[in-house]
Amino acid sequence: MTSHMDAWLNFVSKEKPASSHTYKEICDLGVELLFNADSFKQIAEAPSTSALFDVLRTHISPSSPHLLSTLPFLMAAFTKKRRSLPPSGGSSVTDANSLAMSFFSSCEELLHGVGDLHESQVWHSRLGLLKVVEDESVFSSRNEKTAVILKKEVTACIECSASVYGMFLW
Amino acid sequence: MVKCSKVTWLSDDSVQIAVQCLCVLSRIDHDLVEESTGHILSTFPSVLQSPPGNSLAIPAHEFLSLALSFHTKTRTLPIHIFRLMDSCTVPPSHISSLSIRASYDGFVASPAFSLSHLNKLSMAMRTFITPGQTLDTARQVLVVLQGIWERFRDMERKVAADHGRGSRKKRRTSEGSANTGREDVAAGGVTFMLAARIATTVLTSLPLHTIPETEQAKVKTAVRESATGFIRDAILAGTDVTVVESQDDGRDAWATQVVAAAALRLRYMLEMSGHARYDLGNQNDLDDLAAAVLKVDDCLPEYGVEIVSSTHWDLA
Repeated sequence: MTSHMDAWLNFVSKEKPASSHTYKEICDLGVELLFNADSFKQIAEAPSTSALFDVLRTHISPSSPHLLSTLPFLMAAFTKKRRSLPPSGGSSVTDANSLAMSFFSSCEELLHGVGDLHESQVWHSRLGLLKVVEDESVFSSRNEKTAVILKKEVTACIECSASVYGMFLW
Repeated sequence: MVKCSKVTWLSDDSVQIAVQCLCVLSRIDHDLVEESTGHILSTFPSVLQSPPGNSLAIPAHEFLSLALSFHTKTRTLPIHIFRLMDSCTVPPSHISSLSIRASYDGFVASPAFSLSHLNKLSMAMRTFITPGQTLDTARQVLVVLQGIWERFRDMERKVAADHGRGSRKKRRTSEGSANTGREDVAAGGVTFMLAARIATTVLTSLPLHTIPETEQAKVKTAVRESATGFIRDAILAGTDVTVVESQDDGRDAWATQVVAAAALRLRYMLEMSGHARYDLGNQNDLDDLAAAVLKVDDCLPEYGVEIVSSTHWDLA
């Protein structure tokens, strides 16, 4: 899968999600290969240094900003796949949501890595990721760590909107 | 407090998406954005001066609705009202890129001051302000508006004094400094005009029928005192600057007319409010105002409209 990752991500980024049956099959197949018990365990232990994000960092870079559009798709697939697995070892819905937020946080690190040169694609991707958080209801206000993650998003949004008219505001 | 933050000039598209992100974050859990809502609202009037203002207006409207909805559910509308009034503070043009006059239409048309938002705010006020919040809200709104008026008046006096008139010793200032002063006055005038729009909506929508008569009387007294106090002063300042305008006194007739028009509008709406039924008493300011609008050709259009409206109402 690793050797085909670049081609798969490019395919996912170029096709529209509902464009064809073949598109859906290829996406699903990639999701099946990417997200399994091992990858969930790695992401749970150290999301940023997991094999999945190592691969993503290699392919989603400033030279390929169009691949940023795949991050919301990956997060939605990750969240649904994790929920579809039977609970094991005392894991719960709360754990699954917390894991999804770890995935979100690691995606944010990727966005920062791409930098300001492609800020439009970065913001489109950020919006997509937040919509996944909303649609999949993975945020819990009782989890302080995830609240901190999303409050950083608020700060980034305010800095962006304040920057359009100059250098005022607190 | 004004502070220069990290500035990266971002594309208009990015700013629109950033405001959309704030809406999503609010829908996820409004508590995430609640602490920052004041800052967010403060960015809207200026953000909407940018070229893609129209596209930004849609998510900005949505964010305003989300914030209003949150505060109606939590019965904390006064917090939202005072944040809206704080957000009226217009940055002087010397720290942005357009003159205040050039930006004026954009400020007036920004989402927080649109008819649709003010209608929503009015409906929320009538239903969700609690009896215990009514009197304090009325008083505080008037205090905030009076503070804005006094800051405007002080800035105007300072500019006039720097120009060689008024109580301060005459002195020459550089042209740049004089322009900066005039822009500060213009910004202060527009700030008053915007805040008066929020104040008008709030004061004419207070659910006075839900509070005891003694409390109602206190609200009406507070409104009447303001109407015969600083609101009257603001109206008369417009008359003064229009009738005896001198090209050389350093005063900004445009800014003063903006303030006077807003004060007239506020007074007119308070008097005409069938909901709150304020009695402001008779004032003889309108004769002077009618005379002023007849004599001056380059009167600010909305000032003329407000004078005619008030005069018409006075004759009715």
